[in-house]
Amino acid sequence: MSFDDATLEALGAYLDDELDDRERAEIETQLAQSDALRAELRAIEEVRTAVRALPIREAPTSFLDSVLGAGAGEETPAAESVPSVDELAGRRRAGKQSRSWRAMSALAGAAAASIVILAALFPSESTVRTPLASMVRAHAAGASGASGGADPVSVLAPVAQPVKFGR
Amino acid sequence: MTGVRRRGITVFMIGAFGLVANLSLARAADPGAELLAQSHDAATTTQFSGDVVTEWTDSGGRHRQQVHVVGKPGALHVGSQSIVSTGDRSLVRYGGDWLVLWNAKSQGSAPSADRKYSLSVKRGPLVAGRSTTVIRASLEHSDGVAERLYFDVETSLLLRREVLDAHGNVSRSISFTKISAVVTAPPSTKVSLPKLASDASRDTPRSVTKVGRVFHAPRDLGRGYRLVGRYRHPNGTLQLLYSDGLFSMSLFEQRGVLEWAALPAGGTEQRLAGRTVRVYQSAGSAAAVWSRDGLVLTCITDAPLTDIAGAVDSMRPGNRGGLWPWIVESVLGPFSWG
Repeated sequence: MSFDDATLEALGAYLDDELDDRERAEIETQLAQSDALRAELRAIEEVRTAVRALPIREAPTSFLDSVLGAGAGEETPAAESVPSVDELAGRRRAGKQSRSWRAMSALAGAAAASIVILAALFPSESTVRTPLASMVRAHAAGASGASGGADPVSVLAPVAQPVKFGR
Repeated sequence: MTGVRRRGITVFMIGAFGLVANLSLARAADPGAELLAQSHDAATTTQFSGDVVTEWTDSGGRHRQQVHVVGKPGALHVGSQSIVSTGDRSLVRYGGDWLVLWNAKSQGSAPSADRKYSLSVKRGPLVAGRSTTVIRASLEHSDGVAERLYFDVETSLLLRREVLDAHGNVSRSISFTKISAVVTAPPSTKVSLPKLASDASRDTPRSVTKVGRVFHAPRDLGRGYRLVGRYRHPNGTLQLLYSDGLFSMSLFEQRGVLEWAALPAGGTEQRLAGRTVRVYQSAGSAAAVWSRDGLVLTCITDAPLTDIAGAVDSMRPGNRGGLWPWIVESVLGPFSWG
């Protein structure tokens, strides 16, 4: 009989005494009602005992570099590493944490979606420069041609020379 | 419907039409407004040659610059041919090449100046040795004169204009100091345009009928300014051209945040209509720059500073209709056409 990840995580946590009173009571109730679950708990416990019986070896000097390299995006053959008790326990914790990560991923996704919506509602504002001299020329040119607009001579004469401000 | 009733309605319609026509004629008969209209045409139908001096005051003191102007039928050459205007079209020379500075017709008629101003017409002094008629333009119900305009008695050509500040001092003046060969040329006289470069129109704004949902283009701006043109520049800037019949005003709108530090030196920061505005004075116009709602707004006009304050007030956020319409526009904008 196979069990889902949540049940296996709960069994690992039960063995590590990491469950609170309510969770512990729940899993013990299930263990009392299910032979298969008790068998699964014993199998996990045997594996852990066997692993703990393995000799502890010193890590090669290149191990740290390999880890750092993997962190930098390089491929490191994970099969070459020997799982230790702490590593196995870490895997269990990682399994437990995966739920948290999934929840955080969902939150991050929601946050990203919110940012996209906000960006649509409030477009990002880049700084702009105001070419005043060009605008003054464009105004003069437009005003001189507008119907019933300003007198062309008096509008265009001031911009015939480079437009300067306060100099 | 009986025949009597139909005839009654017809008589009423004719009477109403006649009344409107009479009002229009009465308005058009205003001598000041009529002289203003004549002078606009005179600039491109009169042949002349002269020097024009522009004087203005800003935080740096009093300034003066002079250019040579040659008027030919249908075209105006200003400043040793650096600018040529043919009415709807303006060309400017950068280096050795001519570029189209303007090539768009206005989209609306400017209001008559006498709708906003009281125009008094009197005999004026000699300007550049020629007899003038002077118009003093005052705001309705105000004793202060906003502008004095001096027209050549013979041709209606504008020879001098003085913009006055709130204290009655001349803040800017543009005047012929010398003018000769003033004759009204026949309309059939051929105009020769400069040879244009192949990419002469690359920086030319184009006339648009819709401005986009991000921008704001009120039909009326400030006190008495009517929208007469909407133009899109190649860099995305929107230019709205307004007129009150006497002065013109351009409102430039750019999307983004104003980079105050990148603005030219020489301006002064002022509080206009409750907003911080950087104000500049140049030879022929005043400019004001401010920002609101992700838009950088630049107002350029030959009018007194009080008119800029009116434009700033018109563009305040409260005049846009609130936040929700803007949000709806922003969300639905990309899915709409036009």
